[in-house]
Amino acid sequence: MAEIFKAKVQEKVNRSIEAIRGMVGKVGRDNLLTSFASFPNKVFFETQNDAEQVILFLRQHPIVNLKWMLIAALMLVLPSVFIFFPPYALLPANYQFVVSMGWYMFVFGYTLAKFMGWFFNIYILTDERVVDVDFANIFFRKISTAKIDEIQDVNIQSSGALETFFGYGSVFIQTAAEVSQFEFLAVPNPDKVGKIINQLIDLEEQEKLEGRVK
Amino acid sequence: MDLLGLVGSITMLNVIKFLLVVLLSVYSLFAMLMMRQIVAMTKAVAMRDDFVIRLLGTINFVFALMVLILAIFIL
Repeated sequence: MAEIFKAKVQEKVNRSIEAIRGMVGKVGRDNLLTSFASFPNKVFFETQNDAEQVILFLRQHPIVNLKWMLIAALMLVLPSVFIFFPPYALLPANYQFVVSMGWYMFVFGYTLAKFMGWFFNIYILTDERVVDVDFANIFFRKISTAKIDEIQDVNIQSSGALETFFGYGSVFIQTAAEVSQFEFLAVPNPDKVGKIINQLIDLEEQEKLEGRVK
Repeated sequence: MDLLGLVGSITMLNVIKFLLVVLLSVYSLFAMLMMRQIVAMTKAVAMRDDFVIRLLGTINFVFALMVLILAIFIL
């Protein structure tokens, strides 16, 4: 009896996911460095339920990395300038070699830390909730979630020349959950993200009315 | 007298070597933390081909250890 009930629930869940798939479609690129992908393959998060489906996977637009990339490029060429100035110029060759290696190592570490800051700053929309993975630096990470039916308001903001030119912006989601506001900052296609969230809210309300609450 | 002799024998290069080794040791610890944080994050959110970022973290740590060993032996 319990198995029949479980199978029926699963069938209803599958029907909901198919409905969402029909509404959202396949958008964005599905690769390791993607910043916008619907129904991505092989994306799972720690607290994901068995039947929960990732609808949208977001990161900040790649253009936000431009500043630290330029700084890293500048740092890479600095050792060729060091050589003309003391105290580096006065050091013996073996010391100069170690200092240069140390410097390149530092640049690599800086680049990796900045890259991690972008790579692990993830926003996920599932058919059940909103997940915000914050990764400010290597000593701080925070994962916040809110159920779709707790969403109260969705605001989209796109301002400035860069955001307009590259088509990215921020999506602010007010919720009745413990975390009152979710901020999807500098995400590509903010209008599309807002539309998908609203569609999910509508579907959740419809499911509630039909008594198909997961 | 011995202490004075010891202090007198410390050259500028000795001081630089000491500072470099301390800095590189601290950086190696930082690189290890970074590697552990990458592992924790890829467990929190698993993605396609995320071994690439774990590999980058490991390369950073190995690079830091190599430079530290290099500093200890060739300076």
